[in-house]
Amino acid sequence: MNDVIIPDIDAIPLPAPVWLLRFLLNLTFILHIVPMNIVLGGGILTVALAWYARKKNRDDLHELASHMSNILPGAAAFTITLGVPPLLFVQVLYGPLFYTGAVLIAWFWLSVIALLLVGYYGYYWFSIKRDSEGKLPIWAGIVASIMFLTISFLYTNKMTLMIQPEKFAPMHHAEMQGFLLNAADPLVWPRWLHMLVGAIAVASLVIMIVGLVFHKKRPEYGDLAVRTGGMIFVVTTLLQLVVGVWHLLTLRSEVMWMFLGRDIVATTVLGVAILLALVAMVLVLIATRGKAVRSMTIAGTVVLAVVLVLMATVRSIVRDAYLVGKFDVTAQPTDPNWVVVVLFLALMLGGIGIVSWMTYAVVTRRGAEHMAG
Amino acid sequence: MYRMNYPVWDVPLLGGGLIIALIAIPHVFVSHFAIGGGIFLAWSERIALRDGNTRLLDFLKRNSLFFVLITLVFGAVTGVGIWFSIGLVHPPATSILIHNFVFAWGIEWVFFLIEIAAALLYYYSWDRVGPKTHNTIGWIYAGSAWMSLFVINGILTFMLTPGDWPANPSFWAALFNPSYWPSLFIRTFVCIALAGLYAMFMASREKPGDNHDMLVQYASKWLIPAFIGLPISTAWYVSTLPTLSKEIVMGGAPAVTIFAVMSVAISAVIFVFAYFIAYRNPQSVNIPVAVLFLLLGIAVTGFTEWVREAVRKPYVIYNYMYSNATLTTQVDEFRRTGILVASKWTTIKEVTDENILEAGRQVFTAQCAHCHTIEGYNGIRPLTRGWSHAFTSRAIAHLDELKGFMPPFTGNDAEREALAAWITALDPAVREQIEAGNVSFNLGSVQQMGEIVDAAGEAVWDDYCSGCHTVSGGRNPIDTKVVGMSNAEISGLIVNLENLAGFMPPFDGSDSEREALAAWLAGLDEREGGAQ
Repeated sequence: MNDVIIPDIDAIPLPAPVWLLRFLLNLTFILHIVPMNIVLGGGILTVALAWYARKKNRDDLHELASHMSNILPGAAAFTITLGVPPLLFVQVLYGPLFYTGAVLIAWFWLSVIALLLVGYYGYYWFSIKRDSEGKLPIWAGIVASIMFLTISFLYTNKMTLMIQPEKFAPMHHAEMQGFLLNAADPLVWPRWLHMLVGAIAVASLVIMIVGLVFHKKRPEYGDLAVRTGGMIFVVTTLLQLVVGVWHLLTLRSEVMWMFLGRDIVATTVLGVAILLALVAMVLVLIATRGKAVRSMTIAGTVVLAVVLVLMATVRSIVRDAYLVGKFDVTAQPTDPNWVVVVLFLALMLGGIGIVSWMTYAVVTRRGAEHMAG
Repeated sequence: MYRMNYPVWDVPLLGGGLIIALIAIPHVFVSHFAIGGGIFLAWSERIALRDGNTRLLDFLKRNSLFFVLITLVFGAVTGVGIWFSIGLVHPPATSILIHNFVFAWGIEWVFFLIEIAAALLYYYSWDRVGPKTHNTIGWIYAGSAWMSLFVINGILTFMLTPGDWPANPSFWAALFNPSYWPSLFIRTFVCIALAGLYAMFMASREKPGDNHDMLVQYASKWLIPAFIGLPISTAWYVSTLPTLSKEIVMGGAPAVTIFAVMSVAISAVIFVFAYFIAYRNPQSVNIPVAVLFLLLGIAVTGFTEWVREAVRKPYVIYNYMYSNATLTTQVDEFRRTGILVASKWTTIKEVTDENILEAGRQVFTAQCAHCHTIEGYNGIRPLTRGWSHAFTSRAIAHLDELKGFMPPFTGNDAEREALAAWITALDPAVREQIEAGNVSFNLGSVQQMGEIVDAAGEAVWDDYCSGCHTVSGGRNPIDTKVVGMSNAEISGLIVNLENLAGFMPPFDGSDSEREALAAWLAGLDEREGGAQ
């Protein structure tokens, strides 16, 4: 009964080549994790800021928390919206692993929906309502943050289970009602922590960007935001070095060695990513010292964006390495339907155009000069 | 070879189908009014700007946050929830759909993205942009929301009417399948009507007075398109359905018929109420009344979606995959090889006297658990209460004939006997007997019980029918009357005896006696043929 059981690949051919679907999966995944990091890390940071501001009676920090809280609901909307395409592409490419992993932890996986509803409404509450003293209702932020923390843990759990199909049969034979969790897996905790610390780092850059927005009009407040965000970024990046090494060590040994020289591509991608993270840290450190604040913050953000892309690539390399000999994503029948693929891509470009136009119209207050009053 | 691929999520009491329904029904309700609401906001804003109706404009402005909170958050999250739930409850069907339609969903997502961005910007920009630009953003919201329906409607209707897709797989034919257009019309009318109900609710929260009455009356007019369009498009839709689906709605399965009637009746109630209460007496529409309207709307949504799902039985994708994840092309093969071998997740591959009950349980999981629980929703224990062993086995063998909305049993003979044994043993009385050592199941004894059902049927015949009928020849022979009929058909006749020509008394035996009699009569052909 210890055979590896993996469902067969669907007999219906894929409507596009595997390389294109994988590209779309990784691209949309990267687009998804940017707002996701803001929702997860930003929520925790905003709650912490609001709590600290209240404790120390600091109105400036409370204002910063308030500005951050305004970003959270929109970020949640885009996390969900941009989460849909990677969910589609991972299912079409990795269906046998994706669905089986989900069924094994079914109730936990399904609970994501309820947690998401509470967390999402929680962020709206947190950002719109004010308590009797006119302050942010911290409890709402705490509840919402706990929801998103739990969701992130469940996702790590699921995605880690998915790449280890050898666990499927023993788990299924032990329990069929979907009450299992993959929490005892040594890979889960460091992977989750790695992602969580990363999310806080990304969100701390958002605090810096809030600072940049206000820098011209209110230099003092702008400086405070840049310094606060920058210090958090530096600390979390250093912490990430420790967590990242821990995560690397928990990988299956042949996969770990791929990143330590045995595979040139894997080693290079991870090496460059770590190096660039350090570069971003230095740039941010310079900004927090008040030197070339704008350009250093922007440069740090751009470098970190590259790090995110590289880290998503590392994630994809780990997934394929774990599945070697068990599931070959490239070995699937394909029958490309180019008309639909091109239509999708064209509509996506058109959609981005429309959203950009609307955003531009709102930012530039289009037609507002004719408004009465 | 494509096999029974995925493990089955065992959901006690509720069953997987109910899990999907619990998420899908609120989603369908909210997503339809998200679309209708978009049209409502954009159109009403346009009218208000044209007529200089500041009261209406102000109303729209005040209520757009609530709209965003409901549609964006609840609509979007439950939409993702449907994805999660169908992937858990029916991975094989979900996999088929995604292989066919991944880019259709991709396109739907593009419209969804525009919709979300437009809704957020619409809400945030009331005072930031000029009225014309603001109204344009509203129309972009409405247009993209409706376009997402335009796409998803193809995937939803595909499952019930895939047309000739199973033989000739084409993306476009699958998307624009036979029931696509009538369904699109139905859903669009429903969207506009739900927007009216929603607006009525919003209007009911206004202070009593002219403003309140004007808004309630205005909202009630949004039900008119549905009042005219729904009956026509529904008739058109029904005409495109497979014959079996029509039969199921028209009385083949009483629960489905009742739900369909409820859906139509409640819709009619909504229209009547809307005219007499909201339009004629707008001042009487307070919050509880408006909530009642909304609840009626949810009830219609629930009944209708339930009927739409029910008429698809016994398939999950019509003529292609049965509800229990067996492809129609696999039935013969699985009957030959056995379902335990064909299913990847069973630990028993061959039924023996020793493992018969556990094997039966695993057959149940592979073949039945997609729709049946043991005790709760569609519970197999209550459904088979009092059934004998042999009768159960026989019912399983003729599942698709006895119950038109069930798929055929696709296992070998030994698996059928094992399943029957396990089902029989669900009866607490039988379980007690097993534990006391008085009853045991083994393949030999179970198969012998097959003969007992004939004996039982013959006994019922002797008791109830032989007073007037002969089996063959003589004054009133039965064989010529039931020749070529299935179990189910004969059983249907017996239930209805008093209405048949010939002044027969009603059959007042028990259900299991009736089934035994029907089975015995259906077997007459075979036995007489064999004798000749």
